[in-house]
Amino acid sequence: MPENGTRLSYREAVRDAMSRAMRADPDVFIMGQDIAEHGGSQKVTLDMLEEFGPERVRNAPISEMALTGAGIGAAMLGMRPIVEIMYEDFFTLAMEQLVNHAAKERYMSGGQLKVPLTLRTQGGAGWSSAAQHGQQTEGWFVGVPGLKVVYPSTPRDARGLLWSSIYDDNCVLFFEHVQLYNLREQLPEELEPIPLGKARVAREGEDVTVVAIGPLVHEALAAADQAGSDGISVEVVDPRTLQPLDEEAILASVRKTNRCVVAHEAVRKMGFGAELAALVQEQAFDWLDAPVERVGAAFTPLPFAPVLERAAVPRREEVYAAIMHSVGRRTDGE
Amino acid sequence: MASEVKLPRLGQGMESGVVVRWLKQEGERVAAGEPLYELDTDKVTQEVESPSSGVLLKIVVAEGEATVGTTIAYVGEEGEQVPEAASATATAPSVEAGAPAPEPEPERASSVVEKGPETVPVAGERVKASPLARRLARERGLALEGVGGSGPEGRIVAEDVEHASTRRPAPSAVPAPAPGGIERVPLTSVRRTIARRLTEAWQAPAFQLTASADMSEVLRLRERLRERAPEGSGRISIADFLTKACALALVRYPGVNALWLGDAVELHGSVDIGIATTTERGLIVPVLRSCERRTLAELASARAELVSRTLAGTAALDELEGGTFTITNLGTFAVEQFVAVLNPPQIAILATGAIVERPVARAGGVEIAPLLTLTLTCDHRAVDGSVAAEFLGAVRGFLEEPGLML
Repeated sequence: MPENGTRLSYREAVRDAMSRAMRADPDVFIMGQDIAEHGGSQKVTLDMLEEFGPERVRNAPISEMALTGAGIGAAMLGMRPIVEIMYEDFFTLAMEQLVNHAAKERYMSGGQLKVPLTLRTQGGAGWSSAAQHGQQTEGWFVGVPGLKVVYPSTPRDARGLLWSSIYDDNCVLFFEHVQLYNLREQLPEELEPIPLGKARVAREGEDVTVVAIGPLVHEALAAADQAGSDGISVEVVDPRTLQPLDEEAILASVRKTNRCVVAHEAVRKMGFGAELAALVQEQAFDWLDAPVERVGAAFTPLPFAPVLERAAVPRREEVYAAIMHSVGRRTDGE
Repeated sequence: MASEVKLPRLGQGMESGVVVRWLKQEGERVAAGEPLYELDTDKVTQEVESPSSGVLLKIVVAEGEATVGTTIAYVGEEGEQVPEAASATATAPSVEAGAPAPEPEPERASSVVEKGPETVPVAGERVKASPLARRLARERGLALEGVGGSGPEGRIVAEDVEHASTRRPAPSAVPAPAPGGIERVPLTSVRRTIARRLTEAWQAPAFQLTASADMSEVLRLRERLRERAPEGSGRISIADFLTKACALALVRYPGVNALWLGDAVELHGSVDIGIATTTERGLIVPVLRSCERRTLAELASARAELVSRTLAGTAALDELEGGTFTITNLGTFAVEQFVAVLNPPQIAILATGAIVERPVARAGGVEIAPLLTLTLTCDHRAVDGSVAAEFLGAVRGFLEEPGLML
């Protein structure tokens, strides 16, 4: 548990937000597979059982559908449950509950019911987890009216956004990335809630806007450093919340820089980035000086072999190439 | 698909170039990187390499001026078709001297002028331009057909519109005047560049400082050096002493060896002095690099060589860009002193006149001394009068006591 103004890892920041909510509010509890004694597959809930007991830190059977359905029921009856889905790949098993119930009960009851449920999950490539344990699925849910989708890239954002997710009266899908868990950041003692639907400018620049989410925010910042040494000034915008989306922040940045690159680790084709590109061309057409560049994974199940995985998934080099293409400069790769 | 050979932007601020001649005939094979044609820009003439390999299918611009981004030829596979419109596109010739002079209606004349010889669009082809470039052109009432595109596949981007709208449209082939009438001389690309840059420079809040240097010692030293110079070595001139004196003074006052960037002043560690040179094509400023590290003899031979290549039009583009300070001299025309206009983004320029013998009051008497008048123009945004005065004093000091330059 954090001391006064400590450096927290992304993992600890998530745990901190949950623990604070559970201390402050008896309606908040957490359910998931192996989250109690074992502390969860990524140790995010480590030691929470000792503090809050088995009634509030509950191991669940291996049934994502049952787990999600139980969470929805508890939420509709006034609790603020947090459900941990071990891998975001396993959302497939809870799809009926998520899409047809969590997303729609409030609407179909004319507002008589609410579903203040938070579903935390994690995933991502970079450790040869292969095709069923390393996908990025956030883009599947942004097109379901009634669901909110949050994807923090830093410890500060993870803590502040998870708090706001728990206290949102709608179902929120909260995506964590496995490669970010050990990322550390100095955080104040006071938890600062971050409102959903507010983007963050991670770096200011003049020539190109990179709209990036999750780990690609960090890849974009590294690419921006590299482009900076070529005399290209890059602005990096992290939407943080994908649904609802802070359209104004993205558009304001593109209207300033006149060029836009969108970047995520999920598959590029038909991805969330396509929606960003559409937004930019619809709302900022007359400000664009180049086509919107898209960076994302190749259209393939995620390969197991490390070299193939690296080839499929975008990192700094791919973001850099897109930046340079956007400003009309050739890179060695072309 | 045959690939287009587009007129490249070879240097900052280049808007157009003149195709001088083709080094390959239509139907001849060319390899990527092989010299394909000679291009005359507002600064130099140089060979330009083919961007791709194949057969030179079609020369669109055989000779004459074209804007950056214009398709001037097609390279592709043998027998491949080039776009229909390409063959219809011919370059406008430069002014036809001695052509008969019809009386143009005033409106028509101005509409002709608006178009200009470099604005020949390929008939029926949609102009590729970014949305931002289109909006800027619309706002400024600029026809995109007249703008060369520097983006991928010749797309016109915002920067191209910015360039085009700060430039006066080039006059078209206006007929020569009737005897005793008025002659319109269309601007050459050198003249246009001079006009644009000096108009920009005129916006700067500039001030001038004037001082006279007694050149007795420099003249004596030059005579001795000339007597002792080995056979065949370059002659050292007053200009070389002046360059050396400025270089040393600029090292001492680095705030003057600087560029104005709008939001910052860029100080340069290397003293790269532009030597304003009058050529047949207009004023050109070749740059002598790292003057602070060169001896007087090295400066003399480097300057002579650079100036002669500039006069011949064979200096490379990068030798004509990127100076940090400029010296301009009209002494050879018996001008005694004059005020130079800044050469942006440089923040200072030194104008020198002829060395003239004048009476000088000294120790209660009058002596005759050879004086050189130095007039320094400075950009007040970047440098204050006192610093400029100290710098000018240092130049004067080095000229009056050239031994201090050792």
